[in-house]
Amino acid sequence: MKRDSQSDRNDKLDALLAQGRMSGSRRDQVLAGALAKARPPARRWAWLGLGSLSLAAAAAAVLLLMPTSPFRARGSAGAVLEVDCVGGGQGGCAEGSMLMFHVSGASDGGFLTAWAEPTAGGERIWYFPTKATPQAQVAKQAEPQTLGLGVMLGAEQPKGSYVVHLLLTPTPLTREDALAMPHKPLGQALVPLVVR
Amino acid sequence: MPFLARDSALLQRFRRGEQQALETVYWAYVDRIERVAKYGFRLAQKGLHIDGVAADEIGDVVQETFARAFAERARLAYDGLRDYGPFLSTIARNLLADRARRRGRELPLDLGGEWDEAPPPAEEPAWASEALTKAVQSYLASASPELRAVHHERYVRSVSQEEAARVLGVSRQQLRTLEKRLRDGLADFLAGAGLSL
Repeated sequence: MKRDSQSDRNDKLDALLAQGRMSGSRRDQVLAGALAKARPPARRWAWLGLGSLSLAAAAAAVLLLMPTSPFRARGSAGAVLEVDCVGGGQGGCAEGSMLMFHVSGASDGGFLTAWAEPTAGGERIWYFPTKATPQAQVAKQAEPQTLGLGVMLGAEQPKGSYVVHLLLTPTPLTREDALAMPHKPLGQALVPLVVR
Repeated sequence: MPFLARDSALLQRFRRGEQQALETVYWAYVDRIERVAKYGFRLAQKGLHIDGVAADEIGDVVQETFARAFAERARLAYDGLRDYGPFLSTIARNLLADRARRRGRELPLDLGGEWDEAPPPAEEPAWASEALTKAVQSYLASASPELRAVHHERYVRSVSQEEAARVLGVSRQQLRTLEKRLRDGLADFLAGAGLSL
């Protein structure tokens, strides 16, 4: 089952089981979102711009970086894309924690596309776009901002190592467009992600 | 004595923005803020009310309330002497008022006055169709004691995964597995009854 339909199904079942209340799971999500919004963007994850590296070379390189590495990705127009997880602790993100996306230097705004590729091969995990979130809009803002859209790491993203791909573009991309690597993104980055 | 004032170490950690302290405060007050997001406020002396939001928007209001309260400036502004609940409640009230105004409701700009948190209505609004409601109740009645205990912790008390695992004496991974079993069981039960989500 695709991630979005699985999440959608779980949300609906949770809502029924909670019978009009917020479930504990929903409260966990709300807490993660509140903590992420209340603090300045974190810098825990290393970033590496694609630049002229081939995808394979970049993916191999980022896996060698430590989570506190000072590397950071910067797109051709200066936008910096970052991600971290709330409730993840050291050494990766636990299932049930929430991925939060941070953008700096998005003077022209744009749309974020994000997905994760398992480094050992396997099904690609899409964060944006999905059926539930067809567009992840980024506000016109040079200062750092955190998207209001977090992604809960659920059972649909198995434990293991991934490379998260991020693209900031002036218009929303389809998945196919994103995989075709647009020529002039406002920002692009790869980040290693360990789900434990 | 106010919750945070009882524990000066917690108050200091809260003011420094330490995540564990913020989480402690969140779980101490989330019931109250969920309730005000759901039922709203009233100002009896002026006959005014601010409605709560629909079930699928409650989480947004709760999240924004705590996000604002946990921002550094707001944390440092809290002296620890007064009860923290009314402070949070005021943030939630202002958020609900802003939402109401955006939807065309006319409210005074100055919301000063003795606002009360509105009590639950005599009859709670339906959270699903009658058929779904009955099916969920039947499913829960027929569930194993183990799954009913998981339901109680995570969907009635709505505690954190960590707290539920502690109370139930299982690991978090085991709890996730049990929650999945609870959800899958409901999905199967609904399918068997010819009901869709």
